[in-house]
Amino acid sequence: MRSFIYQLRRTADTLTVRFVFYGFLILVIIHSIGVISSFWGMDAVSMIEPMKLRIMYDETNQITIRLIQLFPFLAVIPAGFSYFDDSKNQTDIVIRARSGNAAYVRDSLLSSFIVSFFTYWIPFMLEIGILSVAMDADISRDPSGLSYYQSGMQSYISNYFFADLYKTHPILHAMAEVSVWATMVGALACFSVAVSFFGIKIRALVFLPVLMVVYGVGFVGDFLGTGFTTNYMWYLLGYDGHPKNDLFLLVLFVTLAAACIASGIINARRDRL
Amino acid sequence: MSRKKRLIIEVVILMTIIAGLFIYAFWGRKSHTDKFGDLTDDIYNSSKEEESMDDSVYDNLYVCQCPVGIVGNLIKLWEEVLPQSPYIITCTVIEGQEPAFGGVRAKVKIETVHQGEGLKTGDEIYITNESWLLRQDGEKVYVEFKFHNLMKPGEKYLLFLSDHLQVSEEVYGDTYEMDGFAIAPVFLYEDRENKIVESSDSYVSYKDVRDNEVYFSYEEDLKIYLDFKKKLFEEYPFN
Repeated sequence: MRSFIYQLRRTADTLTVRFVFYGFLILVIIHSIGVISSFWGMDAVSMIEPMKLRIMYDETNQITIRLIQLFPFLAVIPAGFSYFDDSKNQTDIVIRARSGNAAYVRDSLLSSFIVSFFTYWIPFMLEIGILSVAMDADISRDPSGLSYYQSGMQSYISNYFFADLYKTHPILHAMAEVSVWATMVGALACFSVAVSFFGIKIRALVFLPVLMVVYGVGFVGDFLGTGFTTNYMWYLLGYDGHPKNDLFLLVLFVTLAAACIASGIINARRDRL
Repeated sequence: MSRKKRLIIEVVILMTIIAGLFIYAFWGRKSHTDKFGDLTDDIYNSSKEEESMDDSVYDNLYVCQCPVGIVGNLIKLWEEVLPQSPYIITCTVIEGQEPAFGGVRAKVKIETVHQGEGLKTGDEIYITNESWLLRQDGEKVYVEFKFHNLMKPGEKYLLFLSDHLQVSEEVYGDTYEMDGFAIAPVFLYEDRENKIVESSDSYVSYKDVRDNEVYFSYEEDLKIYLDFKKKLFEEYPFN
């Protein structure tokens, strides 16, 4: 346990984690202030559903588009380089000697997952909290101007990610969505660490496995004609109308987790000292 | 500075900013107004005796009068399609129109089901119309309920509903909608004096027409409408 906490602290206390965490936090704070200010003093009849005003769902905002485009990189940057950096400055040899090889591998994978998860989860959950306090969801309309009573709206909603939860609890839906994406970010960071155990020598190549998974799954889905989108962008834009499959993300997560566990078992057995 | 001290300072600064942001958010919510809600509180809760009270409170509420020439063609269409409406009911209003989920809804209690499977006397349902709109422009609130006055609690109506909305009942309630005709297919079981006010545009101050049932800008159109309503009530009387 002590070795895990030590490893967790090492992974969390890095410049990249701080950079991404505070980057997200500053964006969320500035965006929330902007939303609150723009609706300041407005009447109930002009309200828009607050959960759809979050920074990750404003398709007209250039920052949102950049965030979505950079998502695979932002998933890896905070903690995906933890093993690469350790192996470069040979810190891993010291920790392996002290805690054991298997413990180091396990702790590296787990800590990269946990740190990446919270780097994403905390700022975006904070945004949900702020906007829930700032605006009343019950009287609000969709940003398109459509009311939820309008005929096309309900069938459009059924294409949302976790549509059933959205129909009954929009705020819980937003929280679940952020949690799922934080889990995916954690799994992708963990996956990049798991692959880097096999000896990636060039820093930029640490991104490669994640890019291959994220874009590869999208291309394969398009090629096979699955009937639902496998492009991560449409899942990230949770209120998008492309047909989605909630099970698809679960399968992707289980596959990534299995790959991380397999890499962990293989590398834990290898003698690195 | 030690690592622990730096971390504590970081957390304290962060918590202060977040607390400030929540206060700002709460303050922002407090700044929101509900002009329509404030006005309708008066309208829905005023009794007949109070109706002679000062109506200057309605200075900022505007309604729309039906332009000339619409009603003739509409009634030809109504004569054909209204009897085929999936749901025809007589009801008493429980809650007047209010904004909800980006639209406008009212709550009614069913008195008689003339037509419609799944509905029975005593059921309480929400009704909505895609064309019911509320607009705010500064201090002014524009009510566009398709040339009808607000449905007030206690009033009895004949309604022609087109669809049972497939929405979560837990969230939206049991909701039925009516077709978006140029004039809402909502008929009050009461004879009112319907004033016509001269106006450069279609909008007139609510205080001038507060007791109307419908808003027309031409006397002949109003007569056509009321004649049609009379025929409807012979077919669908209030029991």
